[in-house]
Amino acid sequence: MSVTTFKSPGLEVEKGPQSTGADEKEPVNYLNVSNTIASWLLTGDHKRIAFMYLIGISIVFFLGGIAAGMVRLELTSPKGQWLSSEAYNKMFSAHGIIMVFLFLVPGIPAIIGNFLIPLMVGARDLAFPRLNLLSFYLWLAGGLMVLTALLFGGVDTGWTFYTPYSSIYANGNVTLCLFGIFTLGFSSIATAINFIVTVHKMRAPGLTWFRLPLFVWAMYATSALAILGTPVVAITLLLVAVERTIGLGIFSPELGGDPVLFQHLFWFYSHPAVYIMILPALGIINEIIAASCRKRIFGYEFVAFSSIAIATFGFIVWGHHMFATSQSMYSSMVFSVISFLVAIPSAVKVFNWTATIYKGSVDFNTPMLYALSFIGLFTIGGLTGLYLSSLATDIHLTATYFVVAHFHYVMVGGAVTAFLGALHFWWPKMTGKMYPEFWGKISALVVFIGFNVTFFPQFIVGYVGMPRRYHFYAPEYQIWHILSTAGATILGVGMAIPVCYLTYSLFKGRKAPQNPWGAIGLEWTHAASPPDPHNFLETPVVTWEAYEYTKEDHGHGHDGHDAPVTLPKPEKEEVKV
Amino acid sequence: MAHGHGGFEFIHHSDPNSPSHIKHPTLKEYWVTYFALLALLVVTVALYLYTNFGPAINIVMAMAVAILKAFLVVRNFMNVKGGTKLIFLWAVLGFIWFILMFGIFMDYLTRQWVDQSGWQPLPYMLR
Amino acid sequence: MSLRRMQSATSKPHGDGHAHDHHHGAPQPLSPQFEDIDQQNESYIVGMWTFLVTEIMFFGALFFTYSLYRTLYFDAWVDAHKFLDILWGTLNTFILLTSSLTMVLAVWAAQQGKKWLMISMLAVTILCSFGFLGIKYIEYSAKFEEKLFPGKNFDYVTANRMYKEHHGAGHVKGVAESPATADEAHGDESHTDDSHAGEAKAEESHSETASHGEAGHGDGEHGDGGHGNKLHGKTEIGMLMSKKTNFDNQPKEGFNGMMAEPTQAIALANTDREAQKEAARGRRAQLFFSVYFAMTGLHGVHVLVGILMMSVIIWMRVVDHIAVKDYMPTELVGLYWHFVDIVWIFLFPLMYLIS
Repeated sequence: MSVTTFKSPGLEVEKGPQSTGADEKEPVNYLNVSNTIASWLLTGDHKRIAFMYLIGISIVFFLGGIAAGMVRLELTSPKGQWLSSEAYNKMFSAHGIIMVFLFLVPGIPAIIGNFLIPLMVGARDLAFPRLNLLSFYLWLAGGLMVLTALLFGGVDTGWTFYTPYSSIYANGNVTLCLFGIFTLGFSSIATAINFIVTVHKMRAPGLTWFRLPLFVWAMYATSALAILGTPVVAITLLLVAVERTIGLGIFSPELGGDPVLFQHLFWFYSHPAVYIMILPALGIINEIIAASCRKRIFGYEFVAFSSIAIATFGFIVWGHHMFATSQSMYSSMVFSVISFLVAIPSAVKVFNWTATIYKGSVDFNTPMLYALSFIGLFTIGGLTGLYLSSLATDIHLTATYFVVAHFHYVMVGGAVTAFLGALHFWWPKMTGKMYPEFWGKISALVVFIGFNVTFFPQFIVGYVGMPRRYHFYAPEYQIWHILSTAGATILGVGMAIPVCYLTYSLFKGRKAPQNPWGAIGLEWTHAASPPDPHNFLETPVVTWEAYEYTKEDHGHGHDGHDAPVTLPKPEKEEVKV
Repeated sequence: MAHGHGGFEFIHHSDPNSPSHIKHPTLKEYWVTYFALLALLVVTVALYLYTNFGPAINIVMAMAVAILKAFLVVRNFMNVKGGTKLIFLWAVLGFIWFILMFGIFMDYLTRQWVDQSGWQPLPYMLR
Repeated sequence: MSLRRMQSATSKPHGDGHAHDHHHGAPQPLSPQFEDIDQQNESYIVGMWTFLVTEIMFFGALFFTYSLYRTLYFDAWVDAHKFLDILWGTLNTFILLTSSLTMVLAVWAAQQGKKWLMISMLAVTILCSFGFLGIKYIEYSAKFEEKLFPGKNFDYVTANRMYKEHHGAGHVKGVAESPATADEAHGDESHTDDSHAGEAKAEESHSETASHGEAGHGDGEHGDGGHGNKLHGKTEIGMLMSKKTNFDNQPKEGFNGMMAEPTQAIALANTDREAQKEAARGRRAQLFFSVYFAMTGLHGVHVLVGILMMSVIIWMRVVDHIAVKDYMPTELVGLYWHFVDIVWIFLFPLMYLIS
């Protein structure tokens, strides 16, 4: 059964007072169906909500980037030049809090996940559209609370809010910030509930679990992590806020409480949180590689189960953030061993991608460039994590810039790179416009170079002893910091370029075909670019496996499933600079 | 298929043959469960007031009764009994994960606990 | 796409024409993103259960904290729980169980389409919840009067004194008879038993605790009298221990009133073992009450939210709002309410019945 290319229904928009100026032939899509403010602010359409998230999250990313810029600027000289030490502490705390809680944790799920999951499972919308809208407003409210706390007075506890500093001694707007993060947690939970129920209950007929795109598997695992972990940090931060205001001293050493208990509870969520940040990125890479290599992902089931394995194992390794605390040696050893084990599913993914690319017909478009740089940078980040899992080396490396470099490699080199790749890959679907390919490739290159110049020196300076979160440091480290800041400038430029051309393409970009990559996936083969408000006019019935590219496309035979899907020719057009 | 735009609502009834169909308990089952819960409450308090098998056994017995009460509420009042397999799985997984968090005990049971309470900060520690 | 639209009838035919089993008397509207009503029903219930899983983890962290501190400070737990009145606790449990029943009857009524039965059952549930909250208010204000609220208010010595006055010197179930217990010996520094000349003043310091905020640990150490000579700030160490000495002449209030003027060096010269133990028990009792108020407070907040949701449903049903034509919102609130009940089922023995 061949895939029928979705044809727009021919429901044409009359030019009238309500139209957005769409041409007479332009079909109705979710962007132009109505353009009142209320229709956007009170929408239940997952695609519109994703769009609103995109705008909000881009703004906070920019703010977090400014904080990072200030930190890097300050670190160019050993004694600092522009900021007081207290201000410096507030700056790196702001950078961490904004990037973690406002950008990375919501980011890919709220934008890419919200937009794509109903399309990928063949549903008309998520299970609970109003809950989705609530999730957006909770994010907005929490974000505003956090930003207010950070901008008017600041928080200098670091994004980890360790007690008893945060609960008793810190001055600043800690309480407001904590309530903001608490609200953000609920936003995260609401989104996760939606995703879980949608994937369980609203798959199209014929779409079994093992025919799902791997991005959906990854998002499902992410949502499970959010459900099981977020409430723990919510209550923990709430207890800190309560200790600051009312005086219930649960972590207070004066009463016999244990500050390390805070760390246990905090990291019980925050370690799964880092997997919340990276799993969607891993899912995205699957999609980009499959489409750009025109080949089914090697070892589909292994990759699917590896997402679940990462989620499960991710819950039992939290103690590796606490090796240098009073945590007992025996439990540290257990955490160390399990942390080594959790690297295995990630490695499975990387190996499978490599095997997929091998003998695929690779198209080096912008998303593929981002995906390739992801594989390299994520591998480096992951391997350096092993140095930190091993108890002996961790004693030397913990709380140094080695750790900072490690997590920036996985977070920026990993999650942000994948996010940019996803944005480019699905931009035609989301907006109906193509971005300029030349500038896309340039920005991918600049980001890659800038990123490595920024963070690789941090491995070195951390290894030779520079502690993290320090304002003043020994002069011999200065050369590495200057190198790092120079890279940060390049990285900033690399991030700014897409903002320019993506915004430009919204208004002046070339109109995108339905399936510019010639990819297999319900969002490409059955939904228009941009999609109809209800995604599909007819519920698709799926009879083919995931990524079932034809013999001609990838040069390998099938193993006897349904007849191979005939793929519409990829509608590539000439690159215009 | 066209979507109805506004207009009147249509009535839908649950289909017993659907795999998602959820059966609901009868009134009698509700009342029986309620009285069972009350009885267990009496047992809980009686155990506390009239018995003492030592701290370890006491807490185990108290928790056993509490778990039984919770089980009754979950099964009958929250209708996990008549629900689908997915709902049952969720109820079980939730409690399993809750137990997983008690893995934090692994740290505390393998080190000597020293009570640091009563520590007073010196003047220079407070600005 | 508007928020909620009624879809044209795509439901399966009713089959044999007989009414479906009597549990599903009331019809339900179908949302556009769903294919059939069973998918919708199950989705909503799975969604609610997913939320309840988050709530399990939310309370779970507190339950863990409780278990941890109970393991570490069991005797203090036993000692401190005597202040909690079992009568109120049992009554609260009874009220909550009954409210669970009325809630489930309300859901049943909604499923049958019996509007006024549902509303009245929900109203009874709300009444029970208010009863619960009222009893909690009584308990909390009692705790406050007995100086058992953590922070500035806490004063274990006074609380114990008031307890003895109310209950006489009789046995209390589970309270350790002798203060000298093994774990307290660990925690305190080993001292000789001589009362030290530098030990500071007597109970009169209690009255100043409100402003100084060292109530929790300060008072116990200064003993209840009968502990030998107390030089009121005559010696240097005495001055150090005296609350009145203030090295920078500035009041220092911490965030929870505990870090008041630092008046003692870390190495306490206080060698009175009894006083040490009193102090430790006081501090740990404050920890117990911190956990108590955190857990029951959080539970109370959930009860309040439940009341709010039930009120909203009653109001919507009375005005025949379209959203509650469906029994599902009531059932979802019912699921939430039963969860709140289960939390209390566990809280009650853990807090009130420690032995």
